[in-house]
Amino acid sequence: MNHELISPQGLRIDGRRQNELRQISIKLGVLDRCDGSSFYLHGNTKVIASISGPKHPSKASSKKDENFYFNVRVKFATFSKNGERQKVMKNSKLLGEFELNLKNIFKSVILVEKYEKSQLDLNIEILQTDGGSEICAAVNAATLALIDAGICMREYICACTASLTSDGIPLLDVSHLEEISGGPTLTIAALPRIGDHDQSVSFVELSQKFYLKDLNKIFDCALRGCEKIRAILDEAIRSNANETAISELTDN
Amino acid sequence: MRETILSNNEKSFVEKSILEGLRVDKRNLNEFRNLGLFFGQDVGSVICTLGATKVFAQVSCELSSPRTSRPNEGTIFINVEMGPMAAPHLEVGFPLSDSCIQINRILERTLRESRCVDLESLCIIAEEKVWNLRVDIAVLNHEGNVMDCSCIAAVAALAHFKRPDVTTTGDGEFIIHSPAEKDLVPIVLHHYPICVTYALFDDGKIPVADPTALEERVSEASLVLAVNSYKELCCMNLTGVSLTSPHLILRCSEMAAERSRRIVEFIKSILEEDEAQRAKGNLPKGFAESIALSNLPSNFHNEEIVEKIEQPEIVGIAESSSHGETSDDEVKIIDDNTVTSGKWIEVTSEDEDSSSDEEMPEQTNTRTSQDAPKTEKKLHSNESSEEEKTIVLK
Repeated sequence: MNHELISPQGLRIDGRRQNELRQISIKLGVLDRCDGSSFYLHGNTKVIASISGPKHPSKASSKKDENFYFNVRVKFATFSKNGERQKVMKNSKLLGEFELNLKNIFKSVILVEKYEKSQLDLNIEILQTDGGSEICAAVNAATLALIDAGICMREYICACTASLTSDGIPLLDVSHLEEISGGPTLTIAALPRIGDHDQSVSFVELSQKFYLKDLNKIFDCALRGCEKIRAILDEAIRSNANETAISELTDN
Repeated sequence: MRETILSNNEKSFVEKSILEGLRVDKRNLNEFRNLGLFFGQDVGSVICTLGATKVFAQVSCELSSPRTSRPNEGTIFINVEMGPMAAPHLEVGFPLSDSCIQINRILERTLRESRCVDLESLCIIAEEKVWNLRVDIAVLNHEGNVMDCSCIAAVAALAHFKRPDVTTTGDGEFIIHSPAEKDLVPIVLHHYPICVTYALFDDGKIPVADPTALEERVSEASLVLAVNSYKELCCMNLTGVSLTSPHLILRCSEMAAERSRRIVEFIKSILEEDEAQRAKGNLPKGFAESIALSNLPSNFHNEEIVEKIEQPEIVGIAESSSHGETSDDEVKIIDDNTVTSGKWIEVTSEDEDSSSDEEMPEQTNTRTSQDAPKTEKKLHSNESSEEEKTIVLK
């Protein structure tokens, strides 16, 4: 399977240019029974995130005796991946790593001081995956859900992937096909200016191998992708807030 | 059992010292601890020590059927176990502790997804029978940076391992030869990826190389970079509750590449020695001998130091674990008296910005004879066990 990742005209397999994101579609407040929720669609990846909290710590949590309990549960729907039905992964290292990463990413942005001795539950359900890094979609969906729930955070946290063709052209936002037939994939979760950093990175993951000297290029590409995604998330949040405000006014 | 509580005093002390560039064990911020690599009697077994952290790796192989997605490739499975032996607060069994999951996953990505092992050479009959390599890593002592230690151990074990030779006759039949019939065949490694860990302090601004257990607990985040000797980044993982800048990551990757290159050379040199000894018929005595002493010292020399100090008077050399009999190049103590002015060469890595090649000899020269009694003791005990390789220079 030797697809050309980028045609001579500069188009990728799915017709995008090298620095274009896939289509993103956002819906907030999709679930009634939890404090915040979001439905995030990114190309062919669909994720639902829900936040429950801040609330009184459950018995299981309070055994650990921490200051702030942040529980993350990620579930891949059995129909989520291409092809066969996926077996339920219990206690798998992959899931464990996924949840651990999400926990650390958000613990670095949530204002933990405001939620002492309380518990926050994040549930992520991945309905459809396409494009290797489900953690990207999960992070973006979780950010939206947290804002929808009104949890205090320092900034938006956005995640994006980037890859490099064999000619050294950075590709933004790789899909599944590009990932398996192409080069290395870099996943970054970053946020815009905080404190002294120009742009802070909270999470970096690299798969496969590539030359160190290309690291700069691929990093830049992914960071710019994060900025673009942030703009999209911001717009969605604000328009949602507007609509809610307007509908509340017209109700009264 | 719960981990002993980290007092606020300890935490703030470590943090403040790091801000001033000092570490509790007197290292520089970019300095790595002494590394020791000792092979065992079996092929594919190795103990790796990084300071006080000790890790044991063993590679084994068995026949199995290949994955449906890759029918002509062998499989490799990596398993890292941290139990109460490593540290009292660790427990075995599911669900795996967070740090254990992290180490497992990073090693999997480093060794499997970077394709460092040539899996196609492990295929016997496509779609039916392939070799399944299994790397089992047991952490013997957890004193920080189990990640790096496990990675070096795994790579060394894989490079050391030899599998039985197989001949395929036609019709899907094959014969596995015993070591007596045909020599064992080594595993083909495309490259040697080495993990280098940096703990991040001061809100992700200061990277500290090779953290000890205390520094790990105090740090907010850690950056793991797996680089091979061709300056290829095999795996990168930034985790923890901290935000850091991309410039720092780029800076650390350069330092990691340098470190990785040296480690790969070292592994190769130890492998050659072991190979030579086995060819002579000197099987190593086994780990019981190497662990006879309370502290496994290092056998990693910083080449720059040895080159700069020209024509050293080699007072005594004791060979390392992979030797059985006393050979002529074993402990050669010319004159006991001269040992008192000897020096113990500490392994230090270069500072990232200064050309510290010039600084190194000065550092070693300032070592006083306080170290001499230590070396004296070591040499004497070495007479019987010939386990460590130490170069005592005048």
